[in-house]
Amino acid sequence: MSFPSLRLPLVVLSIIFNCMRPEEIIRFSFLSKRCYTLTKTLKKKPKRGLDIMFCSYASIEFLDSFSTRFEVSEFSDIPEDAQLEFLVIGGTLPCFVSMNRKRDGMDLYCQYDRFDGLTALLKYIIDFYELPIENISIGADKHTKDPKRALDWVFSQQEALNECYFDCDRSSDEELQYLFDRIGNRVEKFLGVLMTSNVGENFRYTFSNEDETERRFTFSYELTRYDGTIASVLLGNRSFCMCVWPDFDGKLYPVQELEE
Amino acid sequence: MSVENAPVVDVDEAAIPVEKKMYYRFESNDKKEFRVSELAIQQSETLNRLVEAMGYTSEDVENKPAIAIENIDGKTLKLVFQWCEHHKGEAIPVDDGSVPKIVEIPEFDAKLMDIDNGLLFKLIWAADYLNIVQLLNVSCKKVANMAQGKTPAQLRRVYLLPSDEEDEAAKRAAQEAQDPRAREVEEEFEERKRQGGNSFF
Repeated sequence: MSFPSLRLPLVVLSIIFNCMRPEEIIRFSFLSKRCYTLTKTLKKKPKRGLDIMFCSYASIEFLDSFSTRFEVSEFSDIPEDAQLEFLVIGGTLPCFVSMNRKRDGMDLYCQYDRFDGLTALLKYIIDFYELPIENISIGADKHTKDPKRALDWVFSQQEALNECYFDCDRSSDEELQYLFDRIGNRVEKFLGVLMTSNVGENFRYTFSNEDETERRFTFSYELTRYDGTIASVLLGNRSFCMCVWPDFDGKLYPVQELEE
Repeated sequence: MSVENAPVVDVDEAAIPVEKKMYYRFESNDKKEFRVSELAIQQSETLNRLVEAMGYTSEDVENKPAIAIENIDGKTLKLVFQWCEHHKGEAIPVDDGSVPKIVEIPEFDAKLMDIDNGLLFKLIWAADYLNIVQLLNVSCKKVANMAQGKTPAQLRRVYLLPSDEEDEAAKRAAQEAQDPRAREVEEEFEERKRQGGNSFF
């Protein structure tokens, strides 16, 4: 039996929308202009931004609710047993959609390039929630130009990212050089690079700290080796990074600062 | 002083004031009457203010007519008061700003809301009208949960959401149902606007 949701007062609708997860509200907004206006007006903004993957698959996740995501593919990827519905998202993105029961998310199939579909959906979500892209994971699993396209697009929309993960399994030294140049100091918290045999053994890259600002972190785990060497372990979303003291500037582990 | 030496006082037990539970009587719009405890009423900001303003004594409650709640029927009001009695004495929740809103549906509430969507709609409407914050939260959460794992077509069916075309058609029908004179005035106004006139008069 149906529930006559649009006959409820706006205050009540607002509570209902705010009990939904961000991606459920987005799905609701797809349904009509009226649904779009209602959800956009009544929803609350999630505290965290978006996590983008553009590697073997293209997806968007809300960092506030990790378990679900929108995954964008092409018509050729449609599974035989998929139950599809046709939708035009935001009046600009025609696609077939289906629910992914395993991941509790939505799969979108676009006619042409999955990158065009992903960026159209991203524009829609960014405009809807006024959220930044916080993290991006890129890889050349499908096409060698994919990491460059993704990174160029993100930096055409915003100045910086919190975290960037790059799987350079299929990238050459030149591509890696380009990406590191492009990233520069624009990744504020964590840059993770999965190096493989495809990258030359002699490849070296030095990140400059042009503004010479100190990098600080507010939380870390400390390890002490038998010889007294201290390392700080910082946790990322899917990985960690370990800083061994003294740092590159020769600074020792800041015991005094912590004791204060 | 030992217990044995303590002065013995006869106590008239009947004279000890026993704290009596205060109840109020409410009547739904289909004339069904309910007796609800004072503590349970505190869950509803609207009713709590109402009974405070009325200043009823226990005698008033018995002698005066039940307080009429004119826009809620008996079936819905029964659910509302069952909920209030079960949750009496609990603190009224304050919005902590979390997104999405964190609302747990307790087992009792889940059973209480195991009802058809028509009655759930009335229950939400009543919780909003009577300003029962937590009942509104749990009932809205139940409605929000209906979106889980639904495709766009399923969402349309579950939440009765018209498409753009249906919205347009409804708008046209509403305009056509308007008073013909009002429509004439509107058409004339549109015509003058097209001709570039600044003023209607």
